[in-house]
Amino acid sequence: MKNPVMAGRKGFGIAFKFTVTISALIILMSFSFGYFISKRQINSIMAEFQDRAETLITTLAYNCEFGVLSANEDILDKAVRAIEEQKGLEYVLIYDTDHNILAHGHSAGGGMDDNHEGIWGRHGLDTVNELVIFSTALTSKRSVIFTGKVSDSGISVYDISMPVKTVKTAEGPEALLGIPTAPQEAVEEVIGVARIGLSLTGVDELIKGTINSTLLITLALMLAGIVITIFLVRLILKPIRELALGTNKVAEGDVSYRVAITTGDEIGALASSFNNMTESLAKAKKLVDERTGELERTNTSLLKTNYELEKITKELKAAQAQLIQSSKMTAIGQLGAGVAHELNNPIGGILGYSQFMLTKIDKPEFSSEDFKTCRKYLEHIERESGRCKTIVENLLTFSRKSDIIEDIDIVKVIESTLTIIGHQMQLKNIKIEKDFGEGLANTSGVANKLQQVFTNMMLNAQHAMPDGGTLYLRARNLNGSDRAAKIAIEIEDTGMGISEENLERIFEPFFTTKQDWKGTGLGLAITYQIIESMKGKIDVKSAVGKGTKFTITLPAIS
Amino acid sequence: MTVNIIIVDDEHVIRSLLTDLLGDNGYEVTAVTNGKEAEDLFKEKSFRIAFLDVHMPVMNGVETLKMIRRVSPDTTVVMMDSFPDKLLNEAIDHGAITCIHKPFDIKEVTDIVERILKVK
Repeated sequence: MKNPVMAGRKGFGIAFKFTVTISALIILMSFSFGYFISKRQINSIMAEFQDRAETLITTLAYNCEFGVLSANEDILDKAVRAIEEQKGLEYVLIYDTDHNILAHGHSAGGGMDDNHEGIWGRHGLDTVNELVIFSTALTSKRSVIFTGKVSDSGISVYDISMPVKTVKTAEGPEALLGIPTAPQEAVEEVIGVARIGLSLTGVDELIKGTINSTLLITLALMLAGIVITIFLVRLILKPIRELALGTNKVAEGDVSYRVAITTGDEIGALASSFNNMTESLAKAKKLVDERTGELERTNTSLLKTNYELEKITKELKAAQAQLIQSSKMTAIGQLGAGVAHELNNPIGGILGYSQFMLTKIDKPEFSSEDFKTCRKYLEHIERESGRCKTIVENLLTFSRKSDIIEDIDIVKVIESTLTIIGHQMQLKNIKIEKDFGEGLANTSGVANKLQQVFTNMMLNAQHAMPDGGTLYLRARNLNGSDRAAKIAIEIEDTGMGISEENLERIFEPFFTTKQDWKGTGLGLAITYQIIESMKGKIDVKSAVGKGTKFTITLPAIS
Repeated sequence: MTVNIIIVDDEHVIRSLLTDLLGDNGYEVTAVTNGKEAEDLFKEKSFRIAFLDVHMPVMNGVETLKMIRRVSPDTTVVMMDSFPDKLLNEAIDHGAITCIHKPFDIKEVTDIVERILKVK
């Protein structure tokens, strides 16, 4: 899984975003602020300058009224000289209404010049524009402002003109000369134009200075703002970084890590709950570690136990195999008498007849009657030898240690068992009733183990009937609806029966009721084990004094 | 007078052998398969010698012996066994004169019969 803390570091950090955003805001605000401040400053500088220019031109126009009216150059010159010393004044011009220059002056202090072009050229004035300005100034009722052209000396000039007016009466100029006349309605009349050019250099420098200082202050403020922002962002983000680091450490498994933030604010509270959480985690981890340790220890001991159990199981299996074999031998031991009886009778017959025959053959005359008798004896010998062969074969089959799984004809196994113990049964006055169904299916297993089962069961039945009785041997197919048909084998005696409490224990190893008889208590336990290994079942029903019925169910093979 | 001998054994081949053998030696032999049949025969006639198998169904050798001693005390009883058993001792206690063990030599049988007949 991807670590969210690590993932967060891939993009721009929150500190960077904060700093950039706030810095951008500060820059924007600083510049806007600077712009408006300088704009105001410039406006006020310009307004002051214009006021001064207007005062100058108004004074000049007023002082020129008489001079222009009387066309007295001296008076005009005086008026020109009066303002010529004003700071920044580039030029002064007085015109009559016909655009003739009546007087002029300039900062350079050059002499009067009658030539228009000369004056204009010296002041860098344009001829065409000059006429426009002039006519406008002449017809306008107020002063006309014209921002001057760049002159040849490379400086900007503030050009301003104003019409020179006089109050004219019906009597004409007499009134001006102080001749009393009848009061007439006064008429204002434009008699000329006063014009000045003020250098804008000072103003420009002032504006430049203002802009520079504003810019400087703005930049300083901006810088301070950004520095403070960076510092603040760092200050705010430091505990968050610390927390992130802590989270990372905890995520990596270091639950002993504690965040060292003791501030009383929200971050402090967060750090405190983080530390609490980490502590809980540490406790839980410790518990988990302890439990894991315990589990590991348990697991180890379980593995050990398991190994030991496997060993024991192996040993048990070996012991069981040995038990089966030895119990088989015990059974043979029990059979011993019966086997001897079974064998000694036919052998007795064989021995007797052969000896008898030898005496016949040794006789000097051997009649055809003797021949017939001998033949009869030989038949006896042959038949009895065959009997011995069968018994020996069955005994060998039974005692053989075999593990070969094969198809077993159950009836054949039962009959083979009867060749060994059948006669013994007869001696004990036990009648054997056989009922084997037609077309009995085969089962699969180790034949001699199944024979051991039948021998056990039949010997048990025999022991249960000391005064004789009937042993019923039945076998039939159990054809269920499914293909997995079974074979049922019943071994039923009419003996003493088994009490209910003993019935529960008869399949237990070493359980025996045969105190006088040397029972091992293993017969039925081994029987049970063998039937189980053949995927079969063994059931028992018994009634005391009436008999016992064992039912073995074995899977049939098709 | 011919000597009457009865053979009591559930084993066919033994009955057959003893009948053939003793018959060949000139004795009158009757063979039955168990004590019950013998008992029935003893009701009709008596026998000089009886060969009894120890292990027999219905009525074993010892019981048959007891029966013979009761109904025919003059009969000499010889036991036959095929494996050692405490029943044999019981039989001797009850008056069987001897026992032959299967498988036996035929000479053993004829010798015993001759000895019995010599004694009496």
